[in-house]
Amino acid sequence: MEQARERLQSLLVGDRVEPPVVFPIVVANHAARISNVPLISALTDGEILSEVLYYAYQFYNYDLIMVFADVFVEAEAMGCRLEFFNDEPPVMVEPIVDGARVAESGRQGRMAVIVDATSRLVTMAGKEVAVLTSLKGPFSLASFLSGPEDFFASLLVAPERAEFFLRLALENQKVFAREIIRAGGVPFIGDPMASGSVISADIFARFALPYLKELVQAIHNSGSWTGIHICGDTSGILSLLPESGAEIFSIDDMNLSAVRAQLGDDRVIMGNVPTGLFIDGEVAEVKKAGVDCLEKGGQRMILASACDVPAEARVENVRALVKVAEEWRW
Amino acid sequence: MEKRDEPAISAELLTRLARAVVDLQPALVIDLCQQALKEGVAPDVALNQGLAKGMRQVGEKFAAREYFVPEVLLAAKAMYAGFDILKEHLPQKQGYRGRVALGVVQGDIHDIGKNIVKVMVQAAGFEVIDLGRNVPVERFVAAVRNGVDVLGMSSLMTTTMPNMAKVVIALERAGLRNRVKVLVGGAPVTKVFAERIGADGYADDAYGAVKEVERVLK
Ligand code: B12
Repeated sequence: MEQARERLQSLLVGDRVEPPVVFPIVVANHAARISNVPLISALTDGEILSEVLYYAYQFYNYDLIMVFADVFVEAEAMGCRLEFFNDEPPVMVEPIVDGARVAESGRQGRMAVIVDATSRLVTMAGKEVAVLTSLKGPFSLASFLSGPEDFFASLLVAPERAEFFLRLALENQKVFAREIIRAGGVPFIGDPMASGSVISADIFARFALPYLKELVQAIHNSGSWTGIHICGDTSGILSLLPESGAEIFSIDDMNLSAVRAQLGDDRVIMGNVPTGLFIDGEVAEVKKAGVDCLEKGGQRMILASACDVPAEARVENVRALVKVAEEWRW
Repeated sequence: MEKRDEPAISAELLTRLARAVVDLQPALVIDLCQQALKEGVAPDVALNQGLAKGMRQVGEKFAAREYFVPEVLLAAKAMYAGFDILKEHLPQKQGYRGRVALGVVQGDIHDIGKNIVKVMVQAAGFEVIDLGRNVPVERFVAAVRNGVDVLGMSSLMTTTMPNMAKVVIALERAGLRNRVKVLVGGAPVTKVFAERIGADGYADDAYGAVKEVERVLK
């Protein structure tokens, strides 16, 4: 069997891949949990983050590694205040509003933790597996910088204010993406606030898409490919997503046949076994959902969870998804 | 201010007021509220048949996915702006139908849904005490001790849902459980979960939340 890295490359250039690339989206929280490490250590120390992610990768034997700590890494580096817990993701207690500025380097604050973990993982496993490193889409980051309520109001009544934060967020993410690429990672964009559960297609087209496009362009110019993950129901904006230029579209819990129809047969889709199933479901249910994804999504699929695998996911359920891919023949 | 006997004019004004909320026009809402007072429309009528009616229509549009979160929050802004004008003229506090405390449980910052529930519950005539997000158990208990009719908790994560149960238990321990009706909500919360932790009600959208508040207070 070809190594994970080659199978992913083949998938990206349009070849049929067998077994399909599989990645239950295991990130810091579940990885720390199964490694018996307090989450907070993984969120604040690049070496520990790389170790728990590597442990999870070996433990489950899936085909990608994703470096992701929590959604506020960049916002914090730019000046937002967070509150940390021992075993839960941090919460943002204060946006910045005034005095927000682009990080001076791609290693400001905990961005350094992410970059450090990326380069360590590339050294540990880069030959066999691609290391994707998560960064926020400009829309989500801008909403954190200005505070979501303020940002939402700006979108409708003071677009120039929203655009100010969007520019700032975009510039920061260009710097961050470059640093990630330098460390050997593939920047992978997550834009949870651009969710169809939150904003309309019009707002998406005007305030999220153009900035995504520019970020993707910058990533391409630095010699990397990229992907985009948007949480929630994105049915209203799916047809716009390819305009971003990204190579992979990772989608949340929604009807995959409809998604495939909207995105077209050629696009690489990543998804979309509901995350709740990993906690409450039986192995057989996870398997059935996995098979369903491959049947509906077809050959141009990365078999994955719909969003990140929850911390308390049952180990046998995560394994079950990997197994679906291993046993699959087109 | 004299009450003028021109129901047709005031009906038209109320319709315009409701529409100004739906059209997300805070400035126009303010103008129309002032005009309504000047023309002798009773402030509680302007509130219920103008502002709140508009907000209900906004809720319907949200449910139909015609409006999204930014639109609802802006409509709420318009409604509050109008409410500030009418407030001084309302007959004391007895205007409220009850007092509701709302918060997102500890460890969870997903407060968009809670904020929408807040807006709709306020529009329905209840006083809302907003406890915010990432709210520790003790703060919920303190809110009940200070006197509320309904406690609404929101959680968007399976990992933080157990904190709702902790609040219910803490209320029992503090001997406060009988003093308050407890409602729970948020995308992963189900009716079965609500029953299991001993909550009094549950709803899966802001619309249902208002109905539940009304039901448990009956
Ligand atoms: C937007 C969003 C965010 C935003 C939140 C911004 C904010 N200020 O709220 C950001 C980007 C910050 C975010 C962060 C995270 N998120 Co998030 N997020 C979402 C998303 C895309 C939409 C949620 C939303 O706002 N919906 C719109 C509102 C209007 O709907 P609602 O909240 O359900 O509310 C309605 C009803 O539920 C009801 N209701 C709500 N409350 C109440 C209360 C009462 C009393 C009643 C009666 C009714 C009621 O009425 C509301 C109005 O109709 C969901 C995806 C999804 N499928 O839900 C993920 C989701 C909730 N997030 C998730 C996760 C994992 C996270 C993170 C942990 C990511 C990470 N690994 O770091 C962090 C959490 C940080 C923290 N400590 O809280 C997961 C939760 C999974 C789980 N374990 O259960 C979800 C489900 C995504 C997924 N598919 O996995 N997220």
